[in-house]
Amino acid sequence: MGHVEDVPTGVTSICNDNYEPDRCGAALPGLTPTPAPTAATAPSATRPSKPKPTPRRAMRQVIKYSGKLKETLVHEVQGLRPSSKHREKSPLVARTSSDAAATAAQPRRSREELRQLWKKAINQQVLLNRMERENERITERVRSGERVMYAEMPPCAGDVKSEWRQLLDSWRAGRKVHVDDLQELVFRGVPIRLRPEVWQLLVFHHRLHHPAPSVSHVDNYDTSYLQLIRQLTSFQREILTDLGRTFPQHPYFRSPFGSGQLELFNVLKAVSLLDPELGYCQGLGFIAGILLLHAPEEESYELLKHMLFPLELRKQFMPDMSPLQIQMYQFSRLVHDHHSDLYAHLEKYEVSPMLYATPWFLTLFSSQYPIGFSARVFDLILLLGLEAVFKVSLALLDIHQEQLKNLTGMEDIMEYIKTEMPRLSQTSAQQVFRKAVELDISRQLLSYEVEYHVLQEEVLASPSHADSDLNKLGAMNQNLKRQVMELLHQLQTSSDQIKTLTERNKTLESRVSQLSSERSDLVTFVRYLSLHTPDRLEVPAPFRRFLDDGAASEPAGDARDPLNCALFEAGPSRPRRERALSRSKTVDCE
Amino acid sequence: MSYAYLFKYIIIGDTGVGKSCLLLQFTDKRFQPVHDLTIGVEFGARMITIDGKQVKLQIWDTAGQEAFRSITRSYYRGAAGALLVYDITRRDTFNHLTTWLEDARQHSNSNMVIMLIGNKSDLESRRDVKREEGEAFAREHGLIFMETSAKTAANVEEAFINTAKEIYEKIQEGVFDINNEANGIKLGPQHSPAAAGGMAAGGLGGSQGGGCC
Repeated sequence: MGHVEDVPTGVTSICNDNYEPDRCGAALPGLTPTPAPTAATAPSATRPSKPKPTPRRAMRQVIKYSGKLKETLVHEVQGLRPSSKHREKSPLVARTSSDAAATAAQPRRSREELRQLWKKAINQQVLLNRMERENERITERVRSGERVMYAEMPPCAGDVKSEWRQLLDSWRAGRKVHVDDLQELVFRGVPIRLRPEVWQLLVFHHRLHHPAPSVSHVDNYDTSYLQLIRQLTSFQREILTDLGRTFPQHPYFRSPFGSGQLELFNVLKAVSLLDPELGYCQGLGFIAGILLLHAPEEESYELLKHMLFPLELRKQFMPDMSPLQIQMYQFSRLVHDHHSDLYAHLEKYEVSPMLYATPWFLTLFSSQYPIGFSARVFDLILLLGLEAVFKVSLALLDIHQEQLKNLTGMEDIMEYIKTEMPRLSQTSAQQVFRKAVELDISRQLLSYEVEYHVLQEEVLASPSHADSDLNKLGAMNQNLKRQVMELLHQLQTSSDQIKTLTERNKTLESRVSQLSSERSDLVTFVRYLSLHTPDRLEVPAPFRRFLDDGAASEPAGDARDPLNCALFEAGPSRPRRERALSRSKTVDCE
Repeated sequence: MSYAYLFKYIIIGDTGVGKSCLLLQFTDKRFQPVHDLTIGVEFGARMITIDGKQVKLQIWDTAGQEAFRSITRSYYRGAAGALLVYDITRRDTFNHLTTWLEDARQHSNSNMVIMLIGNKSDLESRRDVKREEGEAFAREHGLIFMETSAKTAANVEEAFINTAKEIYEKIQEGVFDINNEANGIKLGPQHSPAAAGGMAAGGLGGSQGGGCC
C-alpha cells in the first residue's frame, strides 16, 4: 500500500491505510530525504510521546512533537547545506558538520563502522515512521471521534468505495481523471472516509476545466492563510457572537472556545480579511463548519475560498443579498414549472421560497438537515456549482409534495418544511439525490435570471414614471396652492379696502348732507337779504348765481317766499353738485 | 384551535439582542441560551385572551444582521405589531434603532403598533443604556416601551400582550380595518363567513367601525 507522499497537499492526514512496519525500512530512502546521520534526532524527539495516549491533550502533544520532529528534520536537511544558519543552533547539526569535517580529516571509516551507521539510521527511521503512523492514527481517531461523526445519507454502495480508491490512486499517480467517471461516482455517492480527498480532487478538477475567477477586486486573494489569521478583523465581534450559535449541538463545536469553535473563528476571520467587501455573513459559519468536520483549518479555508470564488457562492452573501433574491425568484419559477399544483398551493398560503429556502441556500442545508445529507450536497456543489442546491431543493419539495398539499395554513406548511422534511429516511434521501441529479435546469436558471432582471427593470421603471408624474402633480399642486394663497391674500386686502371706502363714503355722505343743509340756509339768507334790504343790496358775484339759480328754477308764484326756498334745492342740479363736492372732498382726503 | 383574531407580529432588531430568546420565552416559557442562528425567518405562535376573546399571535422572528435587511423588509407586509428589540448592555444596538424604525415605518402599514424593548434587563451590572433613554426614545417616536429579560422572563408576557391589547383597541376604535389582511389581522374561522377562503371577507358583528372598501 502506498503511503502519502505523492498525494496532493492537504490530504495526507486522512489516508489511514496501514502499511507494514517491515516495509518501512525498504521504503526509507524514498520516504524522507533525510540522510542517515540526521535521523539520530528521532529517538530524542519521540521519547516524550506515549504509545497509547488517551486524553485529547496527550494526543495533541504527540501530534505537536511529531510536527516538531518534522521541522527539526527539515532544518537539518537545510543544515547540511553550507549557508544554513541552523547549523549553529542545533548541536546535532554542529555534530554532523564536525563529523563531516572529521571524515574529511580522518581516514575512511571501516566497512563495519559504515554498516553500524546505516543500521542505526535505519532503526531510527523505523522509529520515526512508527511515530508518523501513531500520529496518523491519533489524527484519524480525533477525526472519527470528534469530527467525522455522522451517518452517510444516503449510504454508499460497497463497490463505490473501491472504485473511488482506484480513481484517487490514478489521480495521485498523475493520470487524467475523466469527467464522466468523476461525475458518475459523485452521483453514486462518496464514502465518508474518502470525502476529504474526493473534495480535493473535485477542486483540482474544477480548476483544470474552468478559467480562474476574476478576483482583481479582492486584494488579499493571494495572501496565505497563515498571514491572514495573524491580522485583526473588524468583524471579530460578529463572528464571535455567532460561534456559539453554529452547530451548538455538535460535539465538535459545542464547547465554548473549544478547538472546533477556534478553528471556525480562524476560518471565518480569514475569509473576512480575504474579502473585506464580503466580510462576515451569517450562514458562512455553517458551511465552514461542515468543511472543518472533514479537513484541517487551512484546507477548510481553501475549500471555502474555492466555493466562494470559483463556484460563485460569494454573491449570495454580499451585503444587499440581491443575488439571493434572484435565486429565490429562479427557484420559485422552477417550482412553478416542475410542480405547478404545489406551487399554487404554496402561493395560496403565501409560503414563498424566501420564507423556507433561504437557509437551504445560505447554509447549503447544513443548518437544518443531517450532516450526512448536507455533506452529500457539498459533493454535488463541488461538482456542479450552486445549481446543485436548486436541484436538491426541487427534489425535496417533489418527494414531499403530497404531504405539503394536504396541509392548509401557512404555519403548518412552514412547520412541516422546517421540522418534518429534514427528518429524512435513508430511502427518501436516496430518492432526493436520484431525482436531483436527473434534473436538467441550467437553461431555465439562465432564462429566469434574465427574466428577473427584465421584470426588475420594469418594476423600477414604472414607479419612477409614477414618481415623476407624482412629482409633476405635486409641483403643480404646490403652485396652485401658492396661487390660491396669493389670491386669498388679495381678496382679503380688497375686502378691507371696500370696508374702509364704505365707511368713508358714509362719513362723506353725512358731511354732504350737512353741507347741503348749510348751503340751503345760505341761499335762503342771500335771497332774503336781496329782497328785503332797502336799497337793493349789491349781491357779490360769487353769490349771485344762487339768485340766478333760484330764478331759473323758481316756480311761478310764490317762489320768493323764503319758506319755499328749500324747493330750490330740490332741483335736478343738486345731485350733480353733491357729486362734484364729494369728488373734491375725496381728493382732499387723499 | 379556534380564535377570534390572528395578529401577525414581527420581531426586529440587531443581531444578538435576544429576539429568538424572547420568542422562545413567550411561546415555550423557557430560556435557551444555546440555540441555532436565525437564518432568514423563524416562526412562533401562541394563543392569548384579550377582553374575553381568543387571539392568536403569529410571530415572525427575523435575522438581525445588516445583510438580511433587504430580506427582512419583505416580512413587514401585513404585520399588525412589531417588537423592536435592543440590548441594554450594548449601546450600538440602541443607536441603530432609528434605522430600524425607518425601515419598519417605510415597509409596514402606518397603523402597525410598535413596542420598543430593551432586552437583557437581568444584566444590570453590564447596563450600557439607561432605562430613561429607552423611555425618551419611545416617547419621541410614539412607541410603547418596556425593558424585558428573556432569561428571567421578566416583562416578556407583558411585552407581547400589551402590544396585542393596543392592536385590539385600535380595532375597537376602527383604526384597523380587520377586513383588510394587509393590516396583519385575520378573523378566526368561526367569525368568518362560511365561504371558502373567507378570512379575507366578512365582519365581526359590527364591533368595529372601520368600513370595508
